[in-house]
Amino acid sequence: MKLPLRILGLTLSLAGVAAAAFIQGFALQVPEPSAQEPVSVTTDAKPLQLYCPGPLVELGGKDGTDLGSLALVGKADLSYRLGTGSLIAEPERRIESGSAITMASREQGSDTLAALQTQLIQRPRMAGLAATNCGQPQAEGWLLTGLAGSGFESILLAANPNPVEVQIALTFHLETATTSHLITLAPFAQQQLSLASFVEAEPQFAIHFQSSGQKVSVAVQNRSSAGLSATGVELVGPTAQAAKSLAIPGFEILADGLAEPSLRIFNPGAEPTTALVTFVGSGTNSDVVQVAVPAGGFELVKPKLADGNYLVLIEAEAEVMATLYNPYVGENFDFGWLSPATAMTGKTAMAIPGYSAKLAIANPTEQVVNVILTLDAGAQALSIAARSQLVVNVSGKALVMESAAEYRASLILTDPKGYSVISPSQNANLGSDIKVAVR
Amino acid sequence: MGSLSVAAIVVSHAQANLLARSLAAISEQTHPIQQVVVVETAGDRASIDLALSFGFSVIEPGPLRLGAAIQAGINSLSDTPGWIWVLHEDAIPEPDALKYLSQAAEISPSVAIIGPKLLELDNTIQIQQLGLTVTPTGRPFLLVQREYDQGQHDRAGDTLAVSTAGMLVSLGVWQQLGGLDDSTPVLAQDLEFCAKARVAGYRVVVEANSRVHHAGLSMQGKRPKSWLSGSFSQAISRAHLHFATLYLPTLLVVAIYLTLPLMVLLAIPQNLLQKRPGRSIAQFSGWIWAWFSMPARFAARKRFRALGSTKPIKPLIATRAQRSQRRRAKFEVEPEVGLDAQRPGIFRSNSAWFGLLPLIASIQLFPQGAITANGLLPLGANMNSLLPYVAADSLPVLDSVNLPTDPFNWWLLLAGLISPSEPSTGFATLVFLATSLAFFGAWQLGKLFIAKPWVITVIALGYSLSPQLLTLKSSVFVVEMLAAAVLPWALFFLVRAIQAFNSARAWRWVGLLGLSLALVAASSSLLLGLMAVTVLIAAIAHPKRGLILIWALLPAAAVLYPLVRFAIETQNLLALANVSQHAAGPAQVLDLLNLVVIGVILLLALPSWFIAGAKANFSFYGFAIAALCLSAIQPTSSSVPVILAAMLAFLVLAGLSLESVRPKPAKALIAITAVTAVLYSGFSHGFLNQVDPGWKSSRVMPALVVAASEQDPNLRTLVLEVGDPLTATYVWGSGQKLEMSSALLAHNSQQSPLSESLAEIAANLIAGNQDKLVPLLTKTRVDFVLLKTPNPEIEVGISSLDILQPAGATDYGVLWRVASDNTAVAPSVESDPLRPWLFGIVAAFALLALPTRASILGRRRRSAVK
Repeated sequence: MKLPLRILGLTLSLAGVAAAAFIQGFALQVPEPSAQEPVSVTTDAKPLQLYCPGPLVELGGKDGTDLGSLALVGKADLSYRLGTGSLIAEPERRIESGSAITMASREQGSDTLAALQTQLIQRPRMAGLAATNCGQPQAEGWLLTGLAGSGFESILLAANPNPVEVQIALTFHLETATTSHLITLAPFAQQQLSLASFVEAEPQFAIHFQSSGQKVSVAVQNRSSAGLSATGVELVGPTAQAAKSLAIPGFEILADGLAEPSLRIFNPGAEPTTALVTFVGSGTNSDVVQVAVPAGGFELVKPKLADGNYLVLIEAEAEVMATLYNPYVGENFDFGWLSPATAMTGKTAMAIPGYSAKLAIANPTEQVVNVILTLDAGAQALSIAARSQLVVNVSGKALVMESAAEYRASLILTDPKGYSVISPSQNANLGSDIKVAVR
Repeated sequence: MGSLSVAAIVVSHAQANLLARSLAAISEQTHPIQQVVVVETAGDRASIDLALSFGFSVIEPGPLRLGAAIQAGINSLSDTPGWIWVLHEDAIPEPDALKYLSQAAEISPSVAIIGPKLLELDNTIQIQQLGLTVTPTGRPFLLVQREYDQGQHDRAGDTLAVSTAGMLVSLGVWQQLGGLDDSTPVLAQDLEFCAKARVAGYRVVVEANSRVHHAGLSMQGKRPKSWLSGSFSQAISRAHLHFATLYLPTLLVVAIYLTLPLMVLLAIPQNLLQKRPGRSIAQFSGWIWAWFSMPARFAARKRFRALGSTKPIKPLIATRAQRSQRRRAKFEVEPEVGLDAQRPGIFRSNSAWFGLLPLIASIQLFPQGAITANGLLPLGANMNSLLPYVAADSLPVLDSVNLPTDPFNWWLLLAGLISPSEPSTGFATLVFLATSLAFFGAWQLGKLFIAKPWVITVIALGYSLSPQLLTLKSSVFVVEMLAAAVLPWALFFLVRAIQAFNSARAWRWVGLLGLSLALVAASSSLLLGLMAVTVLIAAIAHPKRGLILIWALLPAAAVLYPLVRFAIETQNLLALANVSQHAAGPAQVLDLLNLVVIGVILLLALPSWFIAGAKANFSFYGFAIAALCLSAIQPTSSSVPVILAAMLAFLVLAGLSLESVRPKPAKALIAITAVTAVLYSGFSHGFLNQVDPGWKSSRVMPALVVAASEQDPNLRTLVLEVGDPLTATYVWGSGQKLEMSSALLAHNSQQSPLSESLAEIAANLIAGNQDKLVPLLTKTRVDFVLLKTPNPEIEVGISSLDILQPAGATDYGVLWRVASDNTAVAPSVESDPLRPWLFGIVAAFALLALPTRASILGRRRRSAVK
């Protein structure tokens, strides 16, 4: 090959490579695949069933000397609000044992049926106001309010509202160990179980329960005492699912400095995590605490707060659960457990029992939320600023909240002899507007 | 001086040059010739004038066939001779040729036909023919062929037939037998005529002392196609069938005619193995010809048999020993001596050890099960489960979706061939070996152009350990990685096919090239486009091999056929880029890594313009620039393979530059730098850039479902994944496997009446509502329900349904069996009738690619008549 031809070839090669690089500027665009739209399906949901755990349980008899005795004491008052539809059977207003309330309705939700139970008890070894939401039986869940050790007692109340036998696997997550226990419940049976023998007197523990078949109702009763004096009682259902962001509305300093509230954070994951806890004060100072929560362990936050109302916001790197122990001092000592409230949209209804009641409506988001609160006396529009809560007195037999945005709420019940906080639940079985992507 | 009266009939067909030599030779014969008649069947003026210039008689009877032409010559004779000497214009007799033939005729009165020894015209010491016979099935058979004439066959002897070129025949016998029958295939005319003489009681002999130089235009394919009524192979095939009809027993002939289609089909593999695919076409045309001319064949048989018993023929049929000797003679080889054959190979130069380096860089991909990283799935349980999804037109989605499966499934089929009982392991093996495969391919390609093994090794490592290829590996972009691995091999096969010295060898390389292009097509349509253009240009530039080369694109066309058909039907040409659902996304061609690597290699390659030949430079630069331009087209799949193609071309050119570096210090410096760069790339992008291939077992569904699917192929499982939205997947058989993937599915949303029913089932399941479930489950043929996402609430809801029997918690989720008789049969889809042909094409190329003696050794083709 002659030299000029070689030089020409070299030049053409460089020009070709340059042209190829230039062409890259006109590269074809990538067409986006068309995503398949999910299908919206509505079907008949199962009949809505709520279950109220029933009266409190006394361990060891009236004097505490009757070893092995576990007895239901007194009656619990049942309050419910019925929307559209009708109940299959009218429930007793005062129940002597766990009781189910069932209704058949295509439309489901707390607006259709909401119920709660309260029991004000005044016995030598047990005193205070115990109130809890009557929620839907669950197949699985967590109970985070375990208390043990000196002056504390925890009893598990399990019920099988189904016509078939179930087994419930209980897993106790202690600070140092994890233990399991299996209980079997006959159809429609209830069982109370003292937890002392399972938790090795550890001050705090969490319980995971899982049914082998049908859904069950499980709650934990806590009782505290100081010497021979009863200092409170509470009955609490399953806590909210673990999440990276939790909000506990309705926290109020009520112990007048005689006892300290404490926030219990549990990390069910396999990796340690950190959580940022913000006590957002209403008309008072706020406080922020950052804590490390070990894997499978607890962290206790004892805030030093001035009197007032607080919205507790918990932001964690991993999914955590939390519950707030709030002591109360009135004529008696009592305490309440405040659980993270479920995010609600649309209508949420709650029955109001015959105690002094306040409703805390919280907005943990960054946008203002407008909620219409309807009471027997009428409706009022509430505007809740970002990351704050409003506490309003409520009266009558029921309340209904309605908003297009997300909100959270809890009902605070106070009595000279007791205190309790209840979070509403959605009360709906899956059935309407289920989005299904079929492949 | 002999007393035999002989007239010579020279049949000419517009070959004036050869005729001049022939007539000159005739005029020099030592035996007197009573009259020479030239029968010019083409009316060629030059030939006629030439004959007249010799003083011979000339007739122009028109375009007659051989028999009629000779007869016309006889008819024009002024005196009736005792014998006629038949010659073609391409037969040049030696001066004593006729003398020896005449002597043979005089010695034995029973001899009616005498043939000379035919020698190659352009190689006068090589025997072309020394008598004709047939095989026991009637196929024409040359007793001596392409042997050097050392007098080893110089003895007169009886033979079944002799060629008409130089044949001395008694005019009386000619007339008695009716001459050559022009309704007989050309290549059987002399056989039939001589065989007739035999059965009529005459002898046919070869006189070896009589020597005629014969160009053999008919056999060389130099005659017009009409002369042979087709190609030489077709003419042989027809001659075979014709003589078999004459000679074989009636029952056998009938059986042959009835089973001809089967025999043609059965012969295809053998023809492919012998690298003579054209013979199948000839046999096919022979079959059609035989069926449509059956009355004429049987009429010829009747005339033949009427002359007498065929017994005299039998001793003259080619014996087994003769046939074996001929086969052996075919493989008396002249080994291929290419330039590269003298260079040390990859093993002789110990360069093969470097092939371990890419393996070390890919060590984390050492097969340990099924690769599931990057969205890959395990393959079917065995080879049989893969086959239905190769080149298929429907996907096991919902109630079957009419979309072609991914062409990449051909790679999975290859994986299945590697490990038939565990294709996932076979696939993992392919992926693991891919970079090493690329090394060996690049080495073989480099060896064709570069002499020094260390340079070849450097460029092969430069390709196989390039950051681009190793990034594909570490990202588990297996589709592009496999395309890049097979690319150097495709180029290597292409060059070897071009360089092959005979058609058998060319067919073998084309077989390999076709298969490698099929694999390229199955993994990168962009790269195939580049290679297709390259092959077409190569075919045009090398017309001698062009017609063979273009066949190499056929398997790739077969692989892409379902996709092409879909693209045409939907008028969506972009669909052609969707060769695999698991192809990598578009690449940044102008990113820093590409710019640096390609830039450095290009700088090293540029001096090749002043070192290497124009052909190599233009070819490789053209290839590389075309590849870089093509890399701008990346509608749905990655362009990394075409970038690697450009790099490979630049690497070969860089190798050409490097090997010309003379000063030892400079050479050492370049070598050390290049090796360091390559090893650094291998270490940083390969060894350090580890990836978890996500090894899993091949099973993707609970054992119970898999076992049940083996009993009932129509089994369906509804897999629920809880989320927003709830996902319901309708799974066929033993679960979604890699071969069931389709890139087209994501771009072509499918509407099916089944979707609504399945959505309703899913909703009712999680709502725990049994009322509507029973008819829906039966209608949709759901046999199992699998809750993939752990969700105790929904699990309890589903467990409460009587129609579902809990089958336990598995590694894949919680399983329920539907307690109803689902006897409905899933709809079957008619597959494309062309599908078997696609497999047939690939199988045919596999047969072509198989090395046989014909292709490894073979005979160098003699140059044609000059």
